[in-house]
Amino acid sequence: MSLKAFHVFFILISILMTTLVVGWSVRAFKMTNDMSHLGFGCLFFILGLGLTGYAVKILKDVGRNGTGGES
Amino acid sequence: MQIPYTVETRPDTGLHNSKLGIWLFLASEVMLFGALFSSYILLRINSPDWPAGHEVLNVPIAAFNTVVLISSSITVLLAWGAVKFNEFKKFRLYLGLTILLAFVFMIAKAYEYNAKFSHGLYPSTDNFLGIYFTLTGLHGLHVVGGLVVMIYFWGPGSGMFHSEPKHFADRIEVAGIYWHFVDLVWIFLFPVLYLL
Repeated sequence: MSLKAFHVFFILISILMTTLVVGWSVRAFKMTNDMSHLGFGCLFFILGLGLTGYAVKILKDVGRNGTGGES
Repeated sequence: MQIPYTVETRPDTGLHNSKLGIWLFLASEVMLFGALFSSYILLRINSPDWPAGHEVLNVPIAAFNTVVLISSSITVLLAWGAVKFNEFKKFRLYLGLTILLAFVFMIAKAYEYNAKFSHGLYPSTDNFLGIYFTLTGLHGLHVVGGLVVMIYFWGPGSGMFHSEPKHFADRIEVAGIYWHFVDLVWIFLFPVLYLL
C-alpha cells in the first residue's frame, strides 16, 4: 500500500471518528442540556464535512492517477 | 557491494526493502497498541466505577490535537508529492509544517500532562489514569520518534533530494506511512479515552 492509499484510508477512518464524536455530542447535550456539547458537536460536524469534501477530491485524483505507489 | 532492492522493487513482492520493512514494523506496532487497547477494555469491564473520560480529561485540548494531527497527515502527503515533482522548496515547506504541527501536538500534550500532575493526578492514582498515561505516553514517544526522523530529512538528510531523488522519495514515503500510523492511533485514542 502506498502513502496515498494509506492517506485515503486514514481520512475515511477520520470521517468515521467525526461521526462518532457528533453522535456523542448530541447524546451528551440531550442528557445535560449543556450548549457547549452542542457547539463541540457542530465543530466536529464541520470538520467531518470538510474531510468528506477532501476525501471526494482525493478519491477522484486516485481514480485519475492511481495511488502513486508500486503497490 | 550494493544492497539490492533499495530503490527498485523486488519482482516477487512488488516492494522495495524500506516499504516492506515499514509494514512489518507497523504490524508489530499494531500488536503493541492492540495489546494495550485490550488491557484498557479488560480493566474497564472489570471495574465497578470507571470514570467517564470527559469528566477527568481535557476534551477541547484533545479535540484540538486531533485537528492538528489530521492536518499534519495532509502536509506530509504534500511533502512526498513535492519530492516526486522535484520541488525542493515546497518539500521543505510542507515537511517543515508537519514538524511544526508535531511540535504543537507535543506542547498541547505537555500542557495537559502538567495540568494533571498539578492536580495530583498521576498514573498511580487509579486504573483509568494508569492506562491513560500509558497509552498517550507511548503514543507521544512515537510522535517524538517521527519528529526526529522528519527533522533529519528536513535538515541534514535532505542532501539526498538532489543526489538520489528516487531513493529520497521512497524514504519520505516510508516516513509518511509511519506518521499516518501514529495519527491513526490517535484517531482511536481520542474517542476511546476522552469521550466513551
